[in-house]
Amino acid sequence: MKYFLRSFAFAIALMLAIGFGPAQAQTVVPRTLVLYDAPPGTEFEKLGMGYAIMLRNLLGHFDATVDLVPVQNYTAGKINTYDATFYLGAYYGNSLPAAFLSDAATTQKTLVWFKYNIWDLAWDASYNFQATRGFGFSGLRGMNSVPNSGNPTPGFFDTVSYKNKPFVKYYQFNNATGTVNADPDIGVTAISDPAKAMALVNVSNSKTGEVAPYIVRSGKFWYFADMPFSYIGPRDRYLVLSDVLHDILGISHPESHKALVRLEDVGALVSVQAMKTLTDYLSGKKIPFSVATIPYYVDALGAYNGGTPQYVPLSQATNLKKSLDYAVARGGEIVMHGYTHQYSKMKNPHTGVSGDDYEFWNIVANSPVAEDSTSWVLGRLNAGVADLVNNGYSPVAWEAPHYHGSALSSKAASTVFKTTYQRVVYFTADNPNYNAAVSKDFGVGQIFPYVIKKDYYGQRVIPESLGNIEYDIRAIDPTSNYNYTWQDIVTNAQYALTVRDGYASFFFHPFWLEPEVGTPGFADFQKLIDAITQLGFTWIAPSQAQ
Amino acid sequence: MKFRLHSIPTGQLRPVLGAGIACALMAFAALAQAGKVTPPPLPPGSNLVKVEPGMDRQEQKRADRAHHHKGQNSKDINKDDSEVGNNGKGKSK
Repeated sequence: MKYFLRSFAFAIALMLAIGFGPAQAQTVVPRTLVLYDAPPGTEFEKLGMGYAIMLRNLLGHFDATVDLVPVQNYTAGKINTYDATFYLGAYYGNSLPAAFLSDAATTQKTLVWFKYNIWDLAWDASYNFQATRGFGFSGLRGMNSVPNSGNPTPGFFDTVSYKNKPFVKYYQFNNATGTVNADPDIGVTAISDPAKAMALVNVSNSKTGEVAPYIVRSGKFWYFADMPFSYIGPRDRYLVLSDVLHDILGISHPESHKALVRLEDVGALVSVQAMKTLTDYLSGKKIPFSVATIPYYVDALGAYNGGTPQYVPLSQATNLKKSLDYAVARGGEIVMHGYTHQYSKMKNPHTGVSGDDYEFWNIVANSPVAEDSTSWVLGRLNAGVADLVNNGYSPVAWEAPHYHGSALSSKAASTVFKTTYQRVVYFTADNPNYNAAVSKDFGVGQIFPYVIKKDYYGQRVIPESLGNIEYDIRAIDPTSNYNYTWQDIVTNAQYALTVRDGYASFFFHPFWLEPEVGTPGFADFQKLIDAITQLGFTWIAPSQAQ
Repeated sequence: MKFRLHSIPTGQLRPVLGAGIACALMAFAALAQAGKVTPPPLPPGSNLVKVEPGMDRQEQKRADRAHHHKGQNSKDINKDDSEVGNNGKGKSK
């Protein structure tokens, strides 16, 4: 016992001495710098920018000011003018400025290094890296062997362990092309001086059983072996970073877990019975909820109306208004989900009908729509808001159809709505060119585990972090062609708990209660609500999300 | 330069990888020179890897669903299916 106490006291003293103590609440707004690889004249010049935007958004949770700067534009001494600097090593072998390396070697400020190019610091003897930081870098590991059709999954360091959960990285081998959709590389490090450095999180290779450090901390210097912004999902190692950012910034948000439920794609065709059933259930349990409402129903090609186009403004959508009135009277809040949730007179891509198609993105051409402009977007948003208000409804938030709007539309939405409630797609250019041979653009879909006070487009974002129940009913709806069960959502919620202030936020289509569909939608919805409640989440309305 | 193989606090570092890292680190430390260093070799199959920022393929599809069924063809949007005996189909009179 005496030995244990002595060891324990020593461990605490050591942790405090090298800066592993509990994070202190920070009252000042952190000033942060995000440096990213942008090698000019290369195909992947903008890849690092995509990651930088994602990191910038997460830093928005902490109300941080964020400067995004290509690393080649770094000027001497810059690190020391920020509370924290992040370098995103996205491009293998990118040439780093000597001024950055020199400052990185000596700074006493917080510096977080991701993945590649750490060798420029660790292997250059003039920086004395290992002696200073207490850990060394030995090289890269990726796939255990070259994959092929006979061995499509050779394995890699794919499982990050954090808070007793395995976070398995995405991997998909395309047998037809022989390509791999994954981000398997890690930088391998080892602690040489435990008095200076510690591996906080490990990653394991599920095929070989090997384990390596995933996050190493040496005082205010942090090294992530991986780039946790690729192929993200609700159970991805991206959540580990989302949580650890609190420690990096020294902002100790208390453990708090809120839940949100949204009834989705509610437009003129809605089933009043389904909406009443769901509303009665939620209000009976005193669970606040929201309704993602499409104000103006359009069937531009007459897809569901015998070939005759159909246009139904909210004022004439009797069933929709009945449903909304019933929900609002019982605690439901209105989220505006597009104006028409379809675009023009085309299939974009399904039918041209509200609820089916994209509105602020041409998904067929994978580009902004022809009319894309701030004024065009504002015209639609203001028309939708006016329809809602004139019929007695006050929307509390915006949600882009299919979570996919142009850069201009997202920027415009932030001027009309104080809050958006969704996942968001970000672009490395307002009018992206995804096929350029040099400096091609990226569209980056991001899930948020918590509230983002201000994102890259100026939006305040409430998270939708878990997804939604889906059934494979392809016989009657070809676009509904896979299952995603209520248990899948619960598993996602369990992962959301690993983020200290992580939300369990999902949406549900009242459509699943309609008898023609023949699915156990309501029963599964109830099971899901109960399970999330039992996990300890507290249900709130969107207007209460902080 | 001194190097000591650590044991990760969780005690999970496997001996095989740990020994390899130790040897490699000592070798690199001995070879390290001031100035530009040579990057480590890329892992096998790196030329096949396609990295994409943001959500994985399944998550990208998750918000892409359209939800309709054949029963919604020519649905009367003013016929309340919550009223007894009224399934919302057909035109209201």
